[in-house]
Amino acid sequence: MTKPIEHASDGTNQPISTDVLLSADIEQNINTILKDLGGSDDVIIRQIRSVGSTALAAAVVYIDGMSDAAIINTFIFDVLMRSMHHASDYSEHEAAPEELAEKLLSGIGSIRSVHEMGKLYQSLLSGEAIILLNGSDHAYRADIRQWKGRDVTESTNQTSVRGPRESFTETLRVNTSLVRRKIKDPRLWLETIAIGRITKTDVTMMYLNGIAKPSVINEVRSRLNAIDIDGVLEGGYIEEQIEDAKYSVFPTVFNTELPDNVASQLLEGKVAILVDGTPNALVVPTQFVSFVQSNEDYYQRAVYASLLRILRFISGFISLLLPSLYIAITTFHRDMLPTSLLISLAAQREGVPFPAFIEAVAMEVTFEILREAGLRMPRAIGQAVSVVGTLVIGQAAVEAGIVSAAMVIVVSVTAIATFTVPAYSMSIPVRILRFAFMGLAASFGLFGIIMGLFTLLLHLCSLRSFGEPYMAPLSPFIATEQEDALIRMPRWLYFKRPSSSQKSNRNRQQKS
Amino acid sequence: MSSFIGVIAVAVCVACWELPGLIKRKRRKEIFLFIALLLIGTGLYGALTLHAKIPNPFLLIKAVFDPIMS
Amino acid sequence: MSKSISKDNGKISARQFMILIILCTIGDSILILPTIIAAASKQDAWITMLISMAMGIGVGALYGWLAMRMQGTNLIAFVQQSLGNAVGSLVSIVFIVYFVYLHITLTSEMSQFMTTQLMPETPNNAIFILFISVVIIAYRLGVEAFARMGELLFPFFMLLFIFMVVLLIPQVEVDKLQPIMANGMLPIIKGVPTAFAIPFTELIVILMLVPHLSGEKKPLKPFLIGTSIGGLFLFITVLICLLVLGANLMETKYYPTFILAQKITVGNFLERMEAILTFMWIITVYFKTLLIFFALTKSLEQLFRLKESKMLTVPLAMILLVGSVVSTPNIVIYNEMIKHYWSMFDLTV
Repeated sequence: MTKPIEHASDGTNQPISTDVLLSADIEQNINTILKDLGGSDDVIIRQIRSVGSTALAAAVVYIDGMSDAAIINTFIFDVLMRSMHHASDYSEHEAAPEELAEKLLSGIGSIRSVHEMGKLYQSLLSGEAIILLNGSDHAYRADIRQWKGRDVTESTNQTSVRGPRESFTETLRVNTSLVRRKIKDPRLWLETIAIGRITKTDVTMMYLNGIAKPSVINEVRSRLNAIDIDGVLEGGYIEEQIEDAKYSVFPTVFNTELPDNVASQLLEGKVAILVDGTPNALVVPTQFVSFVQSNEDYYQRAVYASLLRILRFISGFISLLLPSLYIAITTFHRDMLPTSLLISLAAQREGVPFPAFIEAVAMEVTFEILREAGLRMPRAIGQAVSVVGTLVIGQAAVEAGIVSAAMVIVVSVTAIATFTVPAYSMSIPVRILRFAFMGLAASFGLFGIIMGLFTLLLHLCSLRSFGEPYMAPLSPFIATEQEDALIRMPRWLYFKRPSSSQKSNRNRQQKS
Repeated sequence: MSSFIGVIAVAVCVACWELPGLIKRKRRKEIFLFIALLLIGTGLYGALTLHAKIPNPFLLIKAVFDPIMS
Repeated sequence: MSKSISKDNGKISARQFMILIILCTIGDSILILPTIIAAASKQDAWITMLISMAMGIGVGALYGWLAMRMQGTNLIAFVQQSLGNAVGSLVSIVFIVYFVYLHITLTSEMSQFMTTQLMPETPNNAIFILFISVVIIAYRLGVEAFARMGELLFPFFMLLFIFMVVLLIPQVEVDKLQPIMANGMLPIIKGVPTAFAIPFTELIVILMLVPHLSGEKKPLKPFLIGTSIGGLFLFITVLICLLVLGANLMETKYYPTFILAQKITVGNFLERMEAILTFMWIITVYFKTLLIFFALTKSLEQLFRLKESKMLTVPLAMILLVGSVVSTPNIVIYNEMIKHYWSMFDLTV
């Protein structure tokens, strides 16, 4: 029986203070709730009154669409009504409705009491049902959330040939359960924080206690607690706030959509951060080599996986440097090419009006445009546009004499090479840096490229991710970890956990 | 001429970048040394771009060594 | 008992230290040394190199022992401590001047090489600016960063080196070494000072890095192993030069190792290999330059007891640039004389 209320939006913008407490009077509580929520009509308030005693009243408040109405109807109301009957029979007990309520409501399960309005709203707006009792300044919240979310489906961004395909969904609880199913150890601990002043998004830290380094855990916790922004809509918001190198183009936080990826990193002692509302999970601390690794490496045979990793690494280099090398060699160091190649290249560049640098930049920019467009297009056309589009446009441009054929090849190969990097967040710095290298190549040739590489390496070597060096295990060369960095050795050789885990707990398996 | 201006520009930029931080942290000695070196550097480099004749420092070594060697 | 006031607390591991020593030893020697040695000792240059290597290891041991005695201070601080303030400062200034000259020499060599061999159209200034910018960046990012980079690049370097050597083996002619010791020991002895001085005594700049060495490890071991390996690399280089090019060619060409690279023929990819050598050589020269620059800046910081020295980098660079530019064309012979002197000087201290 909701009271109709005029929607009086008076324009004030005050957030609800958390100190406001419930009053013992149920009418007052209900009115407060209605006023604070502006009488939004998805707020459903159902009241029960006892026939005999007027003081015995209760109400259930919930948000339509977020709570399980069936349970409210069958259980909560049932229990409430029965408790009313009980209480009215014992009129001298009317002053102690809480005990009654607790006893009887305990049948529903997961009942907690709440005293401040702020917390009440937080629960209510998360989908929990609030039970108000007249005469009690505590309300009870029942966690009976149910809403329509996306099913657990295959990941679209990270596909695998062999291995689990499930990917995270937008519901936090589903995601944590997906991870729990992979690791059934009691040491898998979760800590949830609500981040975001207005969105109050639930963010969960997951780690294996005893394997993850306490310093890292504490650091993650403190950084998460320090976040003070209006809203958190995606993992990216959190990533920006907690990452070490805010100005670097390189990611120091790893993100993935696959639960098995998260699980395997948890086993190495890393900390995972799951955000409600997004299927992307963050993992810290991370290293450069993580971005070259794909989860599948662990499911395929070692030799194959190692070769693939090396291939990915090399194609990462190709995608970064190929246009620059082309520019450098054709502009400065022509004598480095075998004569026959040189002649054919020269013939191609005969009619081309622009210097190699301009050509390259133009083609690359075109490609980036196509790629971005391909992302937004409907699924059916998207794939075709990106790569084929470049080739077609390139072909036309070649025939028009604007660019040389070799350039088109270079750009296409570069583009394809970019996609071999498994982690999308690593392809971004590569794409950006590619342009920088092209500029260096155009002005200083090979020397410029080498200097650029040095600068890049220096930068990478100076990065740290939550206290761990970014370039480990290559850079502080940790011999025992080489088994899993650029190549993957067979699993029966893995004896120790990586240095990202605690020193005290390094043995993965017994040396047989 | 343009390179001379370029040199001055670079010197000014560096000064702008480094000095505020140094002044804020009150590093007297560092500021002193910084400005000294900057002036010397700019001076030399500027002179270079203006094609002034700057003696080769190796001549100095030669001067020091010839007596010893013979 | 550390008197270094600086805030840079980066720590390097023993292995990184050793790698830096190796790279510094090879430094610019890989490019200019063969010419100089061949001029003095002709086809016995390899013997010269061998002797120099032995002496070099000795110096390495000396430095290592010095490093142990320094107990975590850097060179300048140590000098000030042991010789008292006045004399110590004077000696420090001498060192600083030395470092400046060293730096100028190296960068002149580098830009000379670049402009003559690889990029004739690019002005000297630009090359220098680019190079020194990256050196400055390395300095500002701290010891840890460039030590790690050294660790990363060194395997590359080794691979390329082995690659180059292996590909040259087919072209080796052992009779280029004949006649052995035709002119007696004298030419060999003549060649030793330079061969010894340039790679090994210039290692003194590494002593500025000592406070950054982590752990209680004795610096002696990295020094010994580092100089041995570095010396070995140089020895092989000289040997190969002799075996493939012969003494005459080595003498006349300014950069024999470059010629070596050009001589590699694998199928049809003739000329590509120069890039390999260039990459290798840039790595070593870069690190040596970086270490010298580091030594220079840190010494200034130490001498004037500054708390930070990062801001000195650009003005210093300007001065060095000027020095470098006016020094070319320089005559290489002066170099060798100088290095000889400095090595003795340094040993006395």
